[in-house]
Amino acid sequence: MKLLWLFFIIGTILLIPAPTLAQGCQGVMSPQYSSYDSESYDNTNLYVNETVDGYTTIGNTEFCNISGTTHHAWVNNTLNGKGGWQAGPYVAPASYISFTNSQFIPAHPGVNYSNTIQAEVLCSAVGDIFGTPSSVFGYAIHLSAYIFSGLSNGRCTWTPTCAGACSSQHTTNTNSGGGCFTTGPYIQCADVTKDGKCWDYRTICYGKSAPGLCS
Amino acid sequence: MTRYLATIVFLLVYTLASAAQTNPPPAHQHNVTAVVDGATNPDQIPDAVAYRLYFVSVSENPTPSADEAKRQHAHLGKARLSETDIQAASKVLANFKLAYAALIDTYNHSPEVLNNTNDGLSLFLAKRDALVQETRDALKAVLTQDGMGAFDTNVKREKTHMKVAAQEVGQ
Repeated sequence: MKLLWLFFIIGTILLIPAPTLAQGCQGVMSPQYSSYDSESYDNTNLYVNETVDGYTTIGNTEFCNISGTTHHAWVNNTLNGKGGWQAGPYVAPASYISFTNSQFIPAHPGVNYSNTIQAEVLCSAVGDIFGTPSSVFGYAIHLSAYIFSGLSNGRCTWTPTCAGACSSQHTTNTNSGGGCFTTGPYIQCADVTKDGKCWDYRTICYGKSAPGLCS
Repeated sequence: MTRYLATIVFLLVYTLASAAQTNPPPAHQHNVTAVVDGATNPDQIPDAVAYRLYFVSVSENPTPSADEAKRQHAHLGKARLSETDIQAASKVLANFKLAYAALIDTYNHSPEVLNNTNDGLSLFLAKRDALVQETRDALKAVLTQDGMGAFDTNVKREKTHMKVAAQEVGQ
């Protein structure tokens, strides 16, 4: 009988999970990631970059088994059906992560282009640890045109010659020679709208000897 | 009777303890990242952070492919840089891309990181921020005054497209 009780006591001690005898897994990881979505247009192509950059701080992992755990960037940049999700390198949890998903498509004025972007960092143990909401945008290229209307307080002044979606009077710095244009006196510009609103004014402009177009 | 009860209790404890050991607690927890949204609070994003994210996004390798070169040209053209300034900025940004990748690679393979600690993080972040400042200084040295002014204006304007971890802005 005594032997049975001895087995009972020893067996009970051995079978109690170790963390409950000391301290459970209190490991806390604090993701510190930033994201940046940038777009541009060069009169031929529409470019969109989606970047995630940052790190995870790790604390109190002495009772946690995180050996073999990895983190990686997981970034979506789908531009009018092109591109999609891309994964960055799988690295140790304390690593620094910096990853950009770049896409481009030929783009023309008057056409709408959809763009879905989302930046995440995934942990192999617990899944999504950082994520921006999935955002769906509609980009379009519009035209605006201007004529040089003189220097004002040392800056070049430009007046719209027609009414485009993003047309507005504006000024620019003079170039290093003190001039305001290399050809002209007109300029033709392309603007980018996002969800119907002007997002980037005069993304690209070039000089013309005749009035430009607006859309 | 006592022996019978002891056996029952022993088996009960054994069963419960075994069940507990086959269901370990979660490996660890992750806090939610607090971010500053530049779309609503661009002024809260430090210039140094905005420059870093911009450099990361638009820098290309010293020998970019044709598509990479066009992409970078478009982004720098959007910053209103002249052709001469775009060429000068491209070289500075290529140096940044190589140095940034090397810095991260070295850090990620350090014993501290491989042992799952942040012991080397402060030093790494200091080196990272120093590299961003060195790159800004290099741009100032090679761009025209107008070009640097336009570059700076563009980076600050791009803050509206950034979401930055609160810890990066000291919150």
